[in-house]
Amino acid sequence: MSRKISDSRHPIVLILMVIVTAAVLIGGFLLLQNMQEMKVLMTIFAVLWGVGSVALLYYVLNAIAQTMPRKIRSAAVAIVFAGPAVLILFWALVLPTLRSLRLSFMGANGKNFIFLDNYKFVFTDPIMLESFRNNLLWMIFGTSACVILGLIIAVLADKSRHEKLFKSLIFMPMAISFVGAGVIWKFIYAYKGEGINITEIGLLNAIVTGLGGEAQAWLLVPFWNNFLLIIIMVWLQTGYAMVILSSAIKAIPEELNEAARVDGANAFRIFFSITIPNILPTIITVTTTILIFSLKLFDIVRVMTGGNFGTNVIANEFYLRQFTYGHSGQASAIAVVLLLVIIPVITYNLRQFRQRKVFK
Amino acid sequence: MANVILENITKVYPGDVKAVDNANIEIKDQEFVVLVGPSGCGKTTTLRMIAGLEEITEGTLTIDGKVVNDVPPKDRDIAMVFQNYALYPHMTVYDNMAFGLKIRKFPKADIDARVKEAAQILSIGNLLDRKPKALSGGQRQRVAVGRAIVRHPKVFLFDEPLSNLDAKLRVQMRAEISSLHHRLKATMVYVTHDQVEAMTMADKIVVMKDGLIQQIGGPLELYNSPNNLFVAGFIGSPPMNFIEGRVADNSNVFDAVDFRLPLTSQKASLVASYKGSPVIFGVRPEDLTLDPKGTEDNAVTGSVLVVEQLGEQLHLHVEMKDATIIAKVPPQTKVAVGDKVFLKPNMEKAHFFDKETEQVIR
Repeated sequence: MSRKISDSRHPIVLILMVIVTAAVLIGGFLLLQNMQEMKVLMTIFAVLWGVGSVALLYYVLNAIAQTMPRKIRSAAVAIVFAGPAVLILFWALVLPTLRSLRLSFMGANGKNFIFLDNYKFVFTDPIMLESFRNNLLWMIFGTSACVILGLIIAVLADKSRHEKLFKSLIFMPMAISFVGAGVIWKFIYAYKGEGINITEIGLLNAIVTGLGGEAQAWLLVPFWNNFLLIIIMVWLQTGYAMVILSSAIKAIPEELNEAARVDGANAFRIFFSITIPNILPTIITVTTTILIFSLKLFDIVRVMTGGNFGTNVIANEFYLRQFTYGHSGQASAIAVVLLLVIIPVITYNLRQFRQRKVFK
Repeated sequence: MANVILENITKVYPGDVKAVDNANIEIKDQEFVVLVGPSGCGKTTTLRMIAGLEEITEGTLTIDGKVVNDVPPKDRDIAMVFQNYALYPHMTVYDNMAFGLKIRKFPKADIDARVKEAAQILSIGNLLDRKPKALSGGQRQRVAVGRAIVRHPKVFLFDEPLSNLDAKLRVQMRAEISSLHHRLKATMVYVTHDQVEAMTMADKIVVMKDGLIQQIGGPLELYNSPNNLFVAGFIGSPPMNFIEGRVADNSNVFDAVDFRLPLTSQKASLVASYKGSPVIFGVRPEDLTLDPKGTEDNAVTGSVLVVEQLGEQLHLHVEMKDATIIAKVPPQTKVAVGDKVFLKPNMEKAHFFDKETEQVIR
């Protein structure tokens, strides 16, 4: 009895297939180079050739993998199908990271090796220290506000008469981009200054002056302007926290709440002893997700203040170093530090995702 | 321990759905009362109203002499065992049982003593440190019962507690709950759709259908003298046989066209007023005996459709013109499918029902 798999091909056929595939790949590429004049035709050919040759490549590689002995075949098939994706990931993610790491030890133009000087800058420069402080504010106050507000709204809206309406209203800002939200909130915080023929158009100033107060340049108020910016993120992200937490709350069987009621628990006790422990994994996931968000926050600060007036954050300073000051060394060092800070949070988050079934 | 009285209790859900219609039940102290009926009959709603989980639309609910219509569940001093156990998944078995006591601020030593005692009664002492997810269905059921008994409540409520267990375990837990009732001498209200559970456990059975109470009584009372066609058919397994026919003009014969049954003088006087009118004749499977010498004039006549040998008895499914009846006969009886048989009913134990109202004729 033959040990060969019935559909495995003759070696000569296989070699022919490899040659044909190589010819298609290389020939198509050369052909494309000579088609610069005929744009439409080139596009159509590129699409057909691209998809077709990838399919052909997989087919041939799979055929080769099938001829291997049973023991290594499964590994070979895995390499054939997952290998290209892993390679692309390596090329698009790992290599740039390593390159950033290398650049972070280099000078402004990425040439002379200056070792840890860039890191010294990251951890001692007053602007960087300010950015670290501000990011901490975002992480602590932004994240907790999003999660706590989201949780409160999810609980209060649960089983209320207009639950869908309330939740839609809270969720809607999620659909707005950070830059768009920045524009909206610029109008809210707008300040035109004092003088003849100047009318305040800012919503917040309208409220303040309407109450008899004086118009303020809100985004210039030191330290507190950070919180005015954090409010924007809270406005955008509370909906996310609410939706996820609300679905977790709805997943708690009603019998559990009833059992607690019969056991003598009041609404507060049920909330803290039944609801919270049951949705704890979800709370942690939501918290870490928003935490990562506030760590790499950029758009709001960029749009609202450009990082001025004491509102700078790490990601914005990275942007400035790279694109405004053209110092790729310092920018890379900032990026590396940001990466190192985010890694533990991401790891925790991923592990939490995996352990989702912990109480089930 | 306490009595529970339901007076004219009605539950109407939004959309004018009447779940329970004017229920009157008196549950005495230390009594084991079973609410039984098909799904949607209002039995669970009734139980939930006693628990306080469902608002009472109309009527008065009294526990231990106190009207509790507007008292929240936590102040009614009741404990409930839920159909899906409703154990707190994030707590250990110990904490599950201790939760109600902790809320009521019992001293730690007292809590410990009560939990240990309950665990010992239910033989779950070795599971106290486990989380519910690490327990089997039967063990979860015990924990759910344990959570109820540690509180020493006035009234125990059970909502179909055995319906998620397999048949063998169900029989075992049935006996355990019964013995628990004797041991605790507690008032218990138990909801089930299984008439066997009702018959085996109850001091008093409340049969419900479509939100209406059909009959209240002890197991034997319901079995021997059902009020109506529904109760007669619901209690007992296999169920009571029903044969349509009419009372002959001379009132001492039941005429089912294909065969006739002579009535005892007592039954004849019972149905005297139905002379010439249609009635439904009811007889339990065990009150039918095979009679080789029977005729169409004194026995139920039909042909054998199915023979079920159960070992301790034989179930004969006998087909007639427009009904199939079941007879319990001795296991060694020699019959074959297709045989024409004559089944003589014990007329002393026959029931007659009004065809219109489906009420028993008394």
